[in-house]
Amino acid sequence: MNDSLIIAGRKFKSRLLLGTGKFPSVESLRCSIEAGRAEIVTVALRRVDLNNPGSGIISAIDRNRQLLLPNTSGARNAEEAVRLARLARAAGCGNWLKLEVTPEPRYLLPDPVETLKAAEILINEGFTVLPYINADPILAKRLEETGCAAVMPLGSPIGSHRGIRTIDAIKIIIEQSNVPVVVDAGLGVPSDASIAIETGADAVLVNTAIAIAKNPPEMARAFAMAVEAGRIAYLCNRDFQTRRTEHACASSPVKGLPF
Amino acid sequence: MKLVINGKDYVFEHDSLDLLSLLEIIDTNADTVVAEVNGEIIQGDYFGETALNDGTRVELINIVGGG
Repeated sequence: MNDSLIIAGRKFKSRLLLGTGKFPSVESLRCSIEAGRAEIVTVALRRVDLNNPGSGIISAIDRNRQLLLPNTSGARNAEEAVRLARLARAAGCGNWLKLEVTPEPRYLLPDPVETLKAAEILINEGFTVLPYINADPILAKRLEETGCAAVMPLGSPIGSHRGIRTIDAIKIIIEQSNVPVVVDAGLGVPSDASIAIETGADAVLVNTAIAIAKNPPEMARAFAMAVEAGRIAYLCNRDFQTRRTEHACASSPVKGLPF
Repeated sequence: MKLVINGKDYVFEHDSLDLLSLLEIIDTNADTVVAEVNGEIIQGDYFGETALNDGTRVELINIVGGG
């Protein structure tokens, strides 16, 4: 099936973006990238641990096959996000960026004002910006108009495994968006990914649910299959949601019963 | 001299150091690190000619796993 995901003019076969945090080992991450067929992988930037320099995470990523998408996680405002973005570029991560501004640690919800402010600055500096946002259709539109390459509305708080609690707003974002919609955060099981993609999201980003599974590569494979199933279902049946009824509708013939 | 590396004070016997030499001393691979010196990003090519003096603030950042 020739059905590519296109972000900022670049084609991807996979609609599963993989986060690289919390994996038990570099090898587990490498196998999960492979099993999940991920072509976009996120990374973070942190201070070097002077007692244990070199995390080795980068060795799990084949940059000929996977696009590195550094995030600005930990940034609490636009200024910190811009600083992390510039550091990411200086670290050789390229121009793509998952913009993330989360001012409070309990729910890690994104700050819409600071995110928009940072997006404007970074787009002017030539970054390809994919902002992590609450499922806010107006904000999504504003970010698209600013020049963001995609929007990444959350399903539920990061790492919460609560699945997609924002489905109605995500549907509006999908309906109105002219850039890809990547559902990010909170996806706990593969069926959550299926729901997002069946609904018309262009891709999903998953990290914790795969990284902390008993067998991360197998869970990555399960998510990849769920994403593929969701996409096929979406393409076959775009209007399935409008066919929902309150009552039953027999699938066996109602005529010809022997009584 | 004293350097502030990643927010902590470290004392060195040297009167001055360049960034590349500092990375060697603290056994950190220059190829995998991005640095800020007094708030300014230093590209890897310039590590060897970036002088660090008493009180210089150095941030050493690397890529880690993240979502």
